[in-house]
Amino acid sequence: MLLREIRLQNFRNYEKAELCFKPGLTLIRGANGQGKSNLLEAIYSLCFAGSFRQVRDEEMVRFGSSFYYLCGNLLSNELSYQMEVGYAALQKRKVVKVNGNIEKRGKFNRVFPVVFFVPEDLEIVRRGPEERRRFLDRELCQLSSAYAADLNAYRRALLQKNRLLREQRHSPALRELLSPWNRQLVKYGSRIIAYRNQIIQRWAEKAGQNYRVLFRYGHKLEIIYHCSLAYGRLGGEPAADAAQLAELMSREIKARESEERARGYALVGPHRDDLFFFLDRREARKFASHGQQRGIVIALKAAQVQYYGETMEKPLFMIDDIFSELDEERRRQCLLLFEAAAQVLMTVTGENKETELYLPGREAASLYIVQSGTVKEAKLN
Amino acid sequence: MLFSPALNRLAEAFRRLPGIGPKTALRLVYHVLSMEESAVQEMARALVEARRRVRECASCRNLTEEENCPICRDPRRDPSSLCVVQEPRDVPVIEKSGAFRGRYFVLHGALSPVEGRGPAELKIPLLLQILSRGEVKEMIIATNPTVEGDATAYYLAEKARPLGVKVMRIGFGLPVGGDLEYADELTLKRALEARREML
Ligand SMILES: Nc1ncnc2c1ncn2[C@@H]1O[C@H](COP(=O)(O)OP(=O)(O)OP(=O)(O)O)[C@@H](O)[C@H]1O
Ligand SMILES: [Mg+2]
Ligand SMILES: [Zn+2]
Repeated sequence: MLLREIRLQNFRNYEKAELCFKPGLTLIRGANGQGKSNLLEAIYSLCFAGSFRQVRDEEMVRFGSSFYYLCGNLLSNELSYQMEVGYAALQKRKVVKVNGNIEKRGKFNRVFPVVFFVPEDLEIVRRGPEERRRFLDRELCQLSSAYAADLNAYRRALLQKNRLLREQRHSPALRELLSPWNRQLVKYGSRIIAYRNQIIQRWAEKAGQNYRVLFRYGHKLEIIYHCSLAYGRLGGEPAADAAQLAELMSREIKARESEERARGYALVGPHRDDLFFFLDRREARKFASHGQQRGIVIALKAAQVQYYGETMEKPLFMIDDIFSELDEERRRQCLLLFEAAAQVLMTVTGENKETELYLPGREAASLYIVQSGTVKEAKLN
Repeated sequence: MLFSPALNRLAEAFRRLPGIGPKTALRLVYHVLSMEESAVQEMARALVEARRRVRECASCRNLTEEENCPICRDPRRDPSSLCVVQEPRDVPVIEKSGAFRGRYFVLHGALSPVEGRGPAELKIPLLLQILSRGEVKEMIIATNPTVEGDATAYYLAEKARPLGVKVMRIGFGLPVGGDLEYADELTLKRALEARREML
């Protein structure tokens, strides 16, 4: 996928800006607080027209202004899309237009292959299981609309079941009241687990290789989907097809019925799953250094880029503030991982000019300088 | 802004209707003002009369003005086949298809613990009582294809099976006359899940 141009109006600290992009690498350079991240956020908001990362629209309207407007052009699978996203703060109304047609409910359903690295993604490794599940679900919904539909249905059924467990705990009819929700949790949950397992395996292989590129001598990275169902790892077992998982899950729900009743919420299902990162078999959350943790997330993001390239089309890779905490060699090595993307947009603060010298495709790269909400194109030298 | 308490009250009253926001309410208020007084009176009477006369049919819970609705009274309807729907508005939809000659049961909702709707609220005990009389041989569940609608269907199926009733779920498939390629993914997925062997 290629982003060809974007125009911003009253978006964050931009009153008006217009940028054109070429395939390959574009650097967005500027000091702290000038608007680099805001620019990437605008691109992300335009490509996804309001889905996924839920930033409140009010917050994106420039201070003192009543609306924001983004428009741009992108190319995916040799088709061009003219995207427009407008938000009026007073009416709280969002309008999304694609090729001139208004999209229903302010959302566009076609999902473009875009991978976005933001510093907050480090929480995947550093924080608790909720962050990891949120990351997982967001990325998988982007890959598959069937997964998104299953997840929605699953969450709805879970909400209903938890309400019953909380409020009808002592009802003699509880079991038969729960049964229809359990059946649906099993149906959707098993498909969710099967898909997570399948994709994570593919990511994990690639991420392991990417980590070796980053840390040449380094440690071995393993990413493991921890499915609460199997009391441990699915670890790439071929047995993990949805039908078998469904059986496993419904057995587990039966086995833990009284425990669920006592605790008052559902204990079995993909909402309890986790993702584990190991460096040489030690949990990265506890034992890896900051640079290594950052390396893990970069390796994973690059794996997502490669996976898109193999299954759909080469993606747009947006990278915000990737270099901090990395030493000079790591910076250079991580540039090697960008090649699987059709287009790379990367922010830099300008302190790492030495690193910029090693950029792949440097001769053809473009550069934008960002300064307090204005952008101008410059020559890279 | 309206400077008449009566108009304000009317606007507020309109806003209680579903899908009516402040702007639409105002439009309706101005329209009512432009109407003849007799027409307004007719309308007010129609509202009150409808509310007063219409009630639930004692056997199927569809809306009617009599003790039993015309469908339940119709001797040509097949009493061995019962179609369970979520809302009264679903009955005319199925009737229009002409493909169903049995009777109905209207739940007035679907199971939803978060909205406080359990089997008793949907009068499912009444439905089970009807089924246990033995006349109904086949129950077709036509609740909506949502998580709540499906849960209701599962629940009913589990309750009805021990009574010796054959339980069917209405098929949710592709709209007839529509091209496969224009069907949205969810519809297609459901249609594939509900596939049947061709005879
Ligand atoms: N809605 C808004 N209206 C106006 N300005 C905003 C709005 N939201 C954020 N800003 C401002 O935008 C500025 C730039 O933010 P941004 O995060 O893009 O900087 P950056 O170039 O990425 O900096 P860093 O290198 O520190 O990450 C901030 O100073 C912030 O106050
Ligand atoms: Mg930033
Ligand atoms: Zn009736």
